Amino acid sequence: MDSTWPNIVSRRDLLRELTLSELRSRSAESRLGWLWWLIDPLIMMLIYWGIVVGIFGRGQHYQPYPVFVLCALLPWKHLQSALTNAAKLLRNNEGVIKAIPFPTMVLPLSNVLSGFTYFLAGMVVLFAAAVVAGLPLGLPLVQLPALMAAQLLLVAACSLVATCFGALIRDLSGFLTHVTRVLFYACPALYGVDLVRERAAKLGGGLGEWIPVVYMLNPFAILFEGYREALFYGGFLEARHWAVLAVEAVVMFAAAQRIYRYYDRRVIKFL
Amino acid sequence: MGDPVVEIHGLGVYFRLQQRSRMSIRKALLGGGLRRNAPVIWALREVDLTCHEGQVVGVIGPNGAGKSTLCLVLSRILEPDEGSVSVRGHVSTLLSLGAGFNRELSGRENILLNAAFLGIPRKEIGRRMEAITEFADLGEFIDQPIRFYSNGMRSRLGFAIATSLDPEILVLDEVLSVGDRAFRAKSQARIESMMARSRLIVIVSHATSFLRKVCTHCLWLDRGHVRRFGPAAEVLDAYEQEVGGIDIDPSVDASEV
Repeated sequence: MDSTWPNIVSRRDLLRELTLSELRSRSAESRLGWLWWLIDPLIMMLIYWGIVVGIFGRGQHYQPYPVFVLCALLPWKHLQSALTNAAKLLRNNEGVIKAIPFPTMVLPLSNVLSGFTYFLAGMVVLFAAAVVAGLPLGLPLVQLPALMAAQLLLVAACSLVATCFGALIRDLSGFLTHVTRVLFYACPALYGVDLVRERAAKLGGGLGEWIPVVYMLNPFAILFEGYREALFYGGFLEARHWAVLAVEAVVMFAAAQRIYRYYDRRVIKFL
Repeated sequence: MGDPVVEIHGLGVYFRLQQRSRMSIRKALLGGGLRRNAPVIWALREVDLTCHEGQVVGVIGPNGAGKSTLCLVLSRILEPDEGSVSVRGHVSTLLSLGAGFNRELSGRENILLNAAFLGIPRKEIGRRMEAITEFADLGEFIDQPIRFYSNGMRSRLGFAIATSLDPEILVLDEVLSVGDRAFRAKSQARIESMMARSRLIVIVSHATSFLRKVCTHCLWLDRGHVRRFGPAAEVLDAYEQEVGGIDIDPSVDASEV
């Protein structure tokens, strides 16, 4: 059964069941169960706060820093875990792929959805932190659903490509761990986009103007900035950034699902 | 006789030798990863087959003859590289039992998951849950995580789920010896009742005496080619004469699926 959209829609039960199974089995594995979904982002937030503010004495520019950094860490964690799982996905499910006909694209899609559930739990922590810090949460929050939709498309796009190439290339998963680690520092996660603009301006000339423009072509840079506008700055993402984000998310997803469908039945021979 | 249920013309499926070992990042980046001229092995080639409603087709042949690949093509898991395959009707497969189970989840939760893989609607499975747990007969283990199950118990649960369907076209690959003696008798009975209700059955087995009992036709595959296809008794006689008539009886064979 090919991974066409009608086939996937007809197997939406499977998509839901796989996502729930993944969530259930992972909380069954640990003693604290689903509480871990909240503790994990909390620890992540505290670690970066401790290192950047406590040890390096930075981050005064972005107060409160824990909220600032978590706005970027949560969507990034979603991407990172989805990617490292994706590269091993088909191989780990070889048994069922070769035993039961089903559209295999539900595997990477459910992987993205279960990761998204952890992301939502993290958002609860982020929300609580923002309330505790006394940030003005208001109208800019309406941007959140659109940001999450873009995030789902982007993470799904990257995962679909990683899933089929993971079946062809045996050490892709480890490689992706390193790549995402490097990319993390290239994205405005620990610092803000304003810092990039400031540093670029110091260079002066055409370069100073171009660097921020090119930098903001990265959909994840826009995504992080969007979450920060909604929850940290209390403002709205610029219209041109919305446009770039929407186009990139849709184009990347459309391209990725085409790639996946091209390799769909072909990669089974490699498993 | 109406339209054939399965029509296969000139079917070919190949594997490249490099497909056995996947390339590494280094190779992928530096080129020379996917060599187009890597040696090719045809798992099936120039296979023609026409099956009609009501037939029970046994597939025999030595290891590596292409029997399992044929099952994968019939169930639309693999696509043919050559030729055409047309199957009229919904194919149910019993290729390996318990595939897709999540070790951390209970038997009951795995029934829901496995049923979803098989495409059984949620409402339907709610109704069948009782019958499945009863048939698998795992006692209180049904609410324990699968990782506490023995191999036999896992296969029993897999068998109970997979055979809860009413199949139109049934493709079976060596899954006839499941569990202990008592369960084996029960599973044989169920397979036979499923056979009575299906339009077409394709069954891979090394147990020639079993095939002689249930099959109307037999397909003898040898190194990817059709050696012979025809009435079961005829093909089985020829096959036994060549391999020396050594039979593997599923009711004696102790190996698990």
